[in-house]
Amino acid sequence: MRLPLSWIREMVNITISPSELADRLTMAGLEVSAIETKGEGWQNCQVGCVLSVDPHPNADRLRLCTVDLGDEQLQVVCGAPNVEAGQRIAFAKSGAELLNTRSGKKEILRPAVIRGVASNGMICSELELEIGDDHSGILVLPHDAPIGMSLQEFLGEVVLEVDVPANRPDGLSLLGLAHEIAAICNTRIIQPNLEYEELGPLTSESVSVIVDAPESCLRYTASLISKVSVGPSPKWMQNRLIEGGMRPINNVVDITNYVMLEYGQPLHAFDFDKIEDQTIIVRQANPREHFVGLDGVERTLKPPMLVISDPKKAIGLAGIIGGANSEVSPTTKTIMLEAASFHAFNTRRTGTELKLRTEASLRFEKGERPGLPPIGLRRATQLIAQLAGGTVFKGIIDTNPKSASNPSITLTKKRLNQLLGMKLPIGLVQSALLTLGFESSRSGNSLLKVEIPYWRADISIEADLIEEVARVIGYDRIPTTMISTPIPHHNPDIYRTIKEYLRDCFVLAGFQETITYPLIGQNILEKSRFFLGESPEPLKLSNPLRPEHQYLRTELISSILQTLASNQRLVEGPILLFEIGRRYIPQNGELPLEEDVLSAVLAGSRSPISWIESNNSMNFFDGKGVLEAIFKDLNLREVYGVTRRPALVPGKTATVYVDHVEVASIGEVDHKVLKAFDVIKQPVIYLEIDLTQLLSIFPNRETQFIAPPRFPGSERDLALVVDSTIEHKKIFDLIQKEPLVVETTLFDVYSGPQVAEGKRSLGYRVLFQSNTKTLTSNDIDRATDAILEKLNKEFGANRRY
Amino acid sequence: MEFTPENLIEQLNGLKETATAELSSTATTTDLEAWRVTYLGRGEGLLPKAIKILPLIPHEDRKATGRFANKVKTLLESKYSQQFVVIQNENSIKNNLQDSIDISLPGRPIRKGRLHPTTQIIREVCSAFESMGFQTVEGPEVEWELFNFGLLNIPKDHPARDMWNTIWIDRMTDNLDNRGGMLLRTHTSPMQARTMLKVQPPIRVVVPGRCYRYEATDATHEWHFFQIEGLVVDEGITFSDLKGTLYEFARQIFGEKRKVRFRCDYFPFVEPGVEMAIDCFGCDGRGCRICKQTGWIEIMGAGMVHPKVLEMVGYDPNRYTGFAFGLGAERIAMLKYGIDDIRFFYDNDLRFLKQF
Repeated sequence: MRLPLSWIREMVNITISPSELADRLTMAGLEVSAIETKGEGWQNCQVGCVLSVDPHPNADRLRLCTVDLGDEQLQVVCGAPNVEAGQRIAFAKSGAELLNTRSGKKEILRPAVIRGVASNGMICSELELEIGDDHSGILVLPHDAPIGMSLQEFLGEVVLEVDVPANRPDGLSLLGLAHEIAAICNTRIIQPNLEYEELGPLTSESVSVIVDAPESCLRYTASLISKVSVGPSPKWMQNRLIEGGMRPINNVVDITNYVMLEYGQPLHAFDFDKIEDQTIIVRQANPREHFVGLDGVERTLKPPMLVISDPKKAIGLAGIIGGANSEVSPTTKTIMLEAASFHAFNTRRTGTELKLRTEASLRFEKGERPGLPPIGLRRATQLIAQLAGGTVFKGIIDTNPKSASNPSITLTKKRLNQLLGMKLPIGLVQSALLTLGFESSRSGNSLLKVEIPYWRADISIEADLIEEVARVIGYDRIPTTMISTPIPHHNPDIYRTIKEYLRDCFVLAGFQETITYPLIGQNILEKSRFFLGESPEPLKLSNPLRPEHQYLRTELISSILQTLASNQRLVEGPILLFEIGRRYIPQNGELPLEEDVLSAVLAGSRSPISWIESNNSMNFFDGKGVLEAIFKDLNLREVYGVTRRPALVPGKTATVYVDHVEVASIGEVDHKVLKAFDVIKQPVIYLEIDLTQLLSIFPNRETQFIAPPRFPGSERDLALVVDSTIEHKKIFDLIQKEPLVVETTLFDVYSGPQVAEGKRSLGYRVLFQSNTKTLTSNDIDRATDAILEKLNKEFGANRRY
Repeated sequence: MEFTPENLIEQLNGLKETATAELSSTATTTDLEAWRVTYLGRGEGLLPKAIKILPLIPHEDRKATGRFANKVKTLLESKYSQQFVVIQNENSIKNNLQDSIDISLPGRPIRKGRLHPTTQIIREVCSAFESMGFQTVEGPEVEWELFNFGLLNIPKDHPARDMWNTIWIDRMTDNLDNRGGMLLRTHTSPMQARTMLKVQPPIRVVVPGRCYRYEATDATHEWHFFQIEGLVVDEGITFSDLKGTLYEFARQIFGEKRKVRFRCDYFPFVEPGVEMAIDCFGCDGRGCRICKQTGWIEIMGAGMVHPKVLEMVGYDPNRYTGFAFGLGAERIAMLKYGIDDIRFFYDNDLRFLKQF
């Protein structure tokens, strides 16, 4: 909402500077987003009076003028054809910063000698002052413009741009804002004139109004004025409309817009002679009813859209736009003014469906109160009588006069204290509310009955009033305290703990955390379907912002591969990325399952290029090492099972189980998949931890203390030659089964010329230890022999040396 | 060199001087050994030789001379040991220097990743509130219209809906029950209702999470962002508690010198509504580019929970009061780190992410 200060000063006495006013309005919830100042370079400009106009001695086109500025008279050379003695004009003395119309730039005016005659300033055109485009001659001011007054004061303007919240239709009116300013400046407002003479016949006998849809039209008021002369509105009104952001059209339409800006009440003027049978019917639109608006656009309507109609045709789309068929024209003689209260939601729905929003609908949408229409109607009628002449009919049409009564709300001191945390004397509360226009009656020292003024649509409960009080006294005056109630008991949240723990683990292991959009496009969906096989039909958006954000992902590998692809050319050395994100698994008729998944990739060399470190590519075991470290730290015993996974290379992929629950998987990404995602670095290891599954095995786990062994242990190395097809894990498990074995570590894997074809050598360091005694080498030899015998029997393994 | 019984003390003294001088010029173990043989060597050494003629000295002088000879011997032996250590040390330093390394070579690289800046901010913000007794919880991103709007006192067709441009889920079979349409939550506020429907007061929670808006992207707007929601409900919670809690939060995150400003603002699910700003740290409130010349930076919306919101979840609004707040994680990160374009956050350019 544009708030021209010169206009609002008529309604309220502003005692503070525009910038302070802007601050205070902002603090009160009406944020001022911009302050526009007209006449910023006008420090040295004044209203002057042209005393004489004489020919220039050396130039035919130029004139020599003497200008009176009240305290001095100056001689100036002027080239404008329209300059005349007696005119009041805008005079710029040297030092003024004005637009140079030739260069198009602002320049500081200096004294000059023009064709041999001294010129001490300039009589300005609209263009030079940047208040209009006219440069054909000088700007002539009204004849009552006070001589010597600074031009800034006379013609300058400050406009505040106010962002009005959605619940404040009154914020879209000058009077509404005037009430706010009155509260800020602790004063009362001056109401516009609503008095006029009614010399015509009875309105109620000249027009009949039938409201067929009372649920959408809460109140309809109308007045009639005959013998109006339609023409341009006065300049002052045009200027105000322009400052307020509207385009002047003719006096009748301008008045309706003027009153809309003034009161916030949208009005419409019909050419009464174009209304059939002098009958107005407010009804729902018929299915597929056609309607041409004032904008010349034909629209197709449907119920429950609301139209203003006569017995034959719709003549207006209620609360949104008038009809072309009843538009006021220069030949219009009698007009009917409409001021109504249309249902907010219905108006909004209609506007949304027709993609049509107007200044009028913007106000109705916010829920104007039904008390407002007759007041706006009277003001517009008064202005038409004053500015467009004509005869006003007696009385107005009002379909629901009862709706004007103002509701009242009880405000208690107790509730005020309960909500704000401060004790306020009831008298102070009462006067704070009064500055905003809320009348109230007091009972005792603890209760106020507050009447809600007709322009406030946002006040319906006690808390609303408490906000009003808080706004007026200022939020900064409310005390600052810490919550004094006991801290609620919170059960420890293992899920979040693990999730955040995993983030830290991956960061420490060298992974960079990424966060990707969970939305994917058709392109990625098709790729992932092709490689990942049958996946659930993802949720689809009905209004995606872009085609690449159309579906909610059901897997995370695509996201992280895309991130890898976009970074691999930018980053030298290893790339280790991880993300904890959600996949969204649709469920019939319900919200999708949102499952947290940790996905990670490892690609490139093991370390950044370095003189000390080999530059080998990372492989499966780099990823597996991370998983092992994490599970060990979490005190979980995980098992790796050979598996096949879409997108991962068979034979280089494992599923990770804890307590037979599948909690993670790891593998090398198939090169076709990499190619599809434009990943050039190879190999890429992908791993994924399913947080939901991981959590499912957690609740029963507490760390159990185990005493450190009291007797020393003893190590033996076992080098075994065994068929390459025998898994390490099987041998390992068998060794571990031996009662005295407490730890087995694989330290060597070898296949090559030193061992037979099809065999490999595995080196284990085995730690033997007993809880009851120090083991002798005999004990250990026996245990070792037992192990070797079993290994030989089970797997045909032989000791290498 | 031969010794005579006469003036043996003077001769021993001379020997001591010569030996000491020679010892200090020995530089290697070989030199030192030669010295030892010369002076202290059993039999042929000069000092033993001198001691051998002690019996030839007249009785009355013998004792004193013998004592002096012993003193010289002890002295030379001790000097010898000292010199031995000195030479050993020097040798070991020389040896070590032969294996010296180029300490200017780079060290063995250690890989270390980083948390995404959004994660870092969420952790910081949540732990600030956890220190005041809040618990961090999370909620669904795909929501019902009922939770995203209805239960927050934002009815259908209310112009306040314009504050949250919504991305909707396309549902083939749209059973229009009271849950309304399915959507991507536009704020974390639905968790207010979800939390209150699940538990009874007292409530103190913070909810970090992704939100989505149907909005064009520019340097300060993302259609996908993280919000952190907060909710406190109990008997006796006041507006002044809201101010105190959020003030303490601002001090923890932005430093204790920051001033805060609370102004009125409108959100349908709170009454009174609040917008909190901190004084600009770019200019200390004088006005600069960061604060758009206002001296203040708005960081979150808040307010006292609307009685209708409490009613809709079955709480008695006369008994319980509470406050709620919401802030954008990226905005806090941008302010803290001076990031001038929100689009960096989810572009996942490692050159950006590695900086935090």
